[in-house]
Amino acid sequence: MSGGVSVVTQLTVSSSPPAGPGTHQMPEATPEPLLPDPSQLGVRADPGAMMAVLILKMAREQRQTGTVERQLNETVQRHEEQAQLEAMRAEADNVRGEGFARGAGELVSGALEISSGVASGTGHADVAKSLSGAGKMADGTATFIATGYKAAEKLEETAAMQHGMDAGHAKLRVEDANDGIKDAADLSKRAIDFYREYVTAESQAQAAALHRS
Amino acid sequence: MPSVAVSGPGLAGAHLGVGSAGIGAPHAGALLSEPTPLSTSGLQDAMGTLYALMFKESQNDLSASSNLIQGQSDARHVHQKLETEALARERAAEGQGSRGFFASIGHLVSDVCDDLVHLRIADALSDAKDDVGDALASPQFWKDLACGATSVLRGAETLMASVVALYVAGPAGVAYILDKPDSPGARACAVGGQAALTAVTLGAAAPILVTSAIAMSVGGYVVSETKCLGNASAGVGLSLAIMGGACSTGAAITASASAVTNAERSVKSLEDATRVISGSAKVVRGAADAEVSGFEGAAMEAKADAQGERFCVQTFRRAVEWILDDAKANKEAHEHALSTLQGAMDINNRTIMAGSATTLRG
Repeated sequence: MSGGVSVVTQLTVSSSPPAGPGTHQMPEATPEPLLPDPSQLGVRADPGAMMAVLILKMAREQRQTGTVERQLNETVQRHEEQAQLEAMRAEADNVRGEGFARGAGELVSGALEISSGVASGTGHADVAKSLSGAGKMADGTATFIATGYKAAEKLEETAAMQHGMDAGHAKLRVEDANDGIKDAADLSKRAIDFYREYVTAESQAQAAALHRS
Repeated sequence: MPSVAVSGPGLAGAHLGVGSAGIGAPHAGALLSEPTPLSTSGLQDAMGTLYALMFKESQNDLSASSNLIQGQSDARHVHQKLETEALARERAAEGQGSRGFFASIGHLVSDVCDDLVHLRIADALSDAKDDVGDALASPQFWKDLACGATSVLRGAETLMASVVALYVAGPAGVAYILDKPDSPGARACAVGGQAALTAVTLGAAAPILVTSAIAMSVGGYVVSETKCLGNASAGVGLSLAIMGGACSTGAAITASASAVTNAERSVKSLEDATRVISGSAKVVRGAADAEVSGFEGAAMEAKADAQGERFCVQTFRRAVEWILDDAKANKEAHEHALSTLQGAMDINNRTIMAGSATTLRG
């Protein structure tokens, strides 16, 4: 019986239309028709088989698209996560820089204040005033530098947050692409199930006809 | 001769040889056997071989998936361990579990004293070195030092502001400074009070102006604080304070530079000493702030490292989920294909049996 032939052997799909002898190969740029010629599918002109093959082709393309999309979004997610980590490390460097600048300013201004006090105590009032002024200048310079580091720190913190959000969005897109791949696999399975039921029904009808005859 | 062992249903341990009737021997380099004219036994052997190969493929897929999952799990465990270490570094840099200033000093003293009591001089030296190293590497030690230096600095500033306020506004001024040490007036006395103090200390030749300055400053403070003049209290109090300041400046201008009393000299010495103390406190606080910011930076870097390892763990966990999904789908597909092929083989066998029965009847 024809129904006894394995379903697997019937559903062979050729990836490109075979070129017959003396025929002219069509260029790749020509768009394919929506419904290909049955002979190009490599199957007999059977509506059920054609439908199953079309669905399988569609499922295969959906799986390929999903796979490419998943890989692209995985790359984007990895890139954004790396950028977030770099921004966090840059923020840490700026925190250190701010602390060092402020600490160095206090060290210098404190040392100058000590010298100012000693100079004032030994009767050198003018020297004391100069040292005190220099101390204030050191403090001001250090505050200026520390403020710059603080501003850079805030910018890096914002950048890290932004990259984190972008990585989260890419992760969601990866999950969506993965769901598309699962749907494509499910679609393939349903196409094969459909064709099996179709062939079974056809063979049962043929068997009944043979029995009647 | 290569052979494939099969144990699927319907074949009950049958041993199929590649190269038996219906299937030609493969030539060198070919993956599949050479096709021969199709016969009944040839078809059966072909389907049997196909079944065996599909079964083997499903086993290989399962084995490959299992190896992949094992590899991903091993990598995930490595990154989980690294994440744990990064979190521990973050906690250490934040100072959790580290000794503070007084705890470090106490630990050092107790270790050294214990060694000296037992005449372990070498151990005393090495313990002192180790304890000092531990203290310098402790974030809490530096944080306590910074806090302490800030307290000393604030105390010195408050002391200087109080001394200036005493001369400008008397006991009421001191009370004001002690009550509101962070107020603009207190800051002005601490920062710019030296000029006022100089002006007042040179007021020995103009006691009337000095007395007037003190009286008006005190009066202005009392009026503005008690609001004894109703809505006009704020304006009157401010005016008195400004006039008091003007009298103080006038006293400085008319004073003789050499007429400095002993009390004023003492105050000046106190001011110089306060300046040295506050300068020392600033030096200590500057060093402590630099160290604390180093620890803060290290904590943030450790946090970034932990986050990076967490990303890796999540990636590997997701990969394992995908491998499991694929393995499950492959297994279902293989079972599906095997059951379909088995059905085809059963139908083929029944067809052969029916043909044979017809031949016998005929």
